[in-house]
Amino acid sequence: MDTIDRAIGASLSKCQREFEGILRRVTGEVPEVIAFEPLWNTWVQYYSGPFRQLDTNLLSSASRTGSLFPRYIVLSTMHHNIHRLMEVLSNNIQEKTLGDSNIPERVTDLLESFMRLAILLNDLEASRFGDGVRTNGAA
Amino acid sequence: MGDNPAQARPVVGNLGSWGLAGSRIPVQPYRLSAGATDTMTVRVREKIDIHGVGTDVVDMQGIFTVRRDHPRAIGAAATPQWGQAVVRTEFRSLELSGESPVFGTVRVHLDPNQLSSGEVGAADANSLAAKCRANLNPVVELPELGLTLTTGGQPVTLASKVIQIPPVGDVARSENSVALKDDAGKDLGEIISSDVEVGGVLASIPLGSTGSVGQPGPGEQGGPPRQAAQPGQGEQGGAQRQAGPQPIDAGFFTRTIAR
Repeated sequence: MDTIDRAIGASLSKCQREFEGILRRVTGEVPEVIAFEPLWNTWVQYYSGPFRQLDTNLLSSASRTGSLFPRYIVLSTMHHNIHRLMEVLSNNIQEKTLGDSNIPERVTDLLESFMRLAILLNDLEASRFGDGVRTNGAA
Repeated sequence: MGDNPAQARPVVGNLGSWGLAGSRIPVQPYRLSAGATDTMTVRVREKIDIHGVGTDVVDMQGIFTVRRDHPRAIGAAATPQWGQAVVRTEFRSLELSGESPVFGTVRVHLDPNQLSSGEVGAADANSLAAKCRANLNPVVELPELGLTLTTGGQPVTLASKVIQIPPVGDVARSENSVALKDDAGKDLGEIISSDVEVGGVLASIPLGSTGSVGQPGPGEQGGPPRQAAQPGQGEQGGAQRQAGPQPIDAGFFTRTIAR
């Protein structure tokens, strides 16, 4: 394992841990009680912090090797898609709750995306340690 | 709102286009590629209100064709670099079809009287993803209702954050709602939201020596790429360019493409 691989591994672990905190904010709750603004603030910190670091490491790896493990492309794309979704929800909901959106389909998209991202992060983290877990369909 | 099961399917991205199922045309992350005309699959979930009829979330499938220019450098960069470049786009066609329990068949295509264009621009300060925007002028056909509606020149603005061009697997979301008008300009409804799940590349035809459209904008440099570069550092000289333009017949964009 070289320096970039170690850096990806470390940043992946951090993302997995930090994202669990975001997921806890929505797990088991109905949209009507999930305040959007704290969720948005937490997400932005995660997106521009731990995830930005992971994405930078992935770019370095892609620059060096000319390719990237497909599941890392999925991981990165999912994060950026979620960020865009959070942006439009921010304009739509502002200081209200997820249940106040007039486009509830997008709230469903968000909760589904969060669940899929958590599964992928957990799976990638587990596979780093050789337990061979593979859940392609979960991504 | 209807109870079509397809409408319940969330828009989270096209799994088959995220590198898991393979693609006939390789697309690499964080890497600019030479200009081309791409035809891609797409799924669009559109929330439509027709006054006096109702509101429904319509799930549509289809294809679109977009011409993307060669990347141009912006800012201080001398050559186009990922996240510091602009790629102008022009939509050439969009064909969507879906079924609604409220409206019946719904078909969407581009308004031939309006330009539908966009660009992939620089990345935000906190992100490596390039900002992608498109202004689309759709025509919404509702044959069972006897309606053909346009947005009267007011585009639906879609935006997304991409790490690949063409943006396979990307989800673009509208940030505005637009009125739907009849031929006389009377408001008959509204597109409340559009959520677009870009699929895989069906065909990609390099621009080659046809070059760029128009002159560089303020602060832009660039033109047709001349050499390959590494991901994140410059432009792609990958398989599509090495293969060179493929011969196409006159009916290429009008015949059915096998999926």
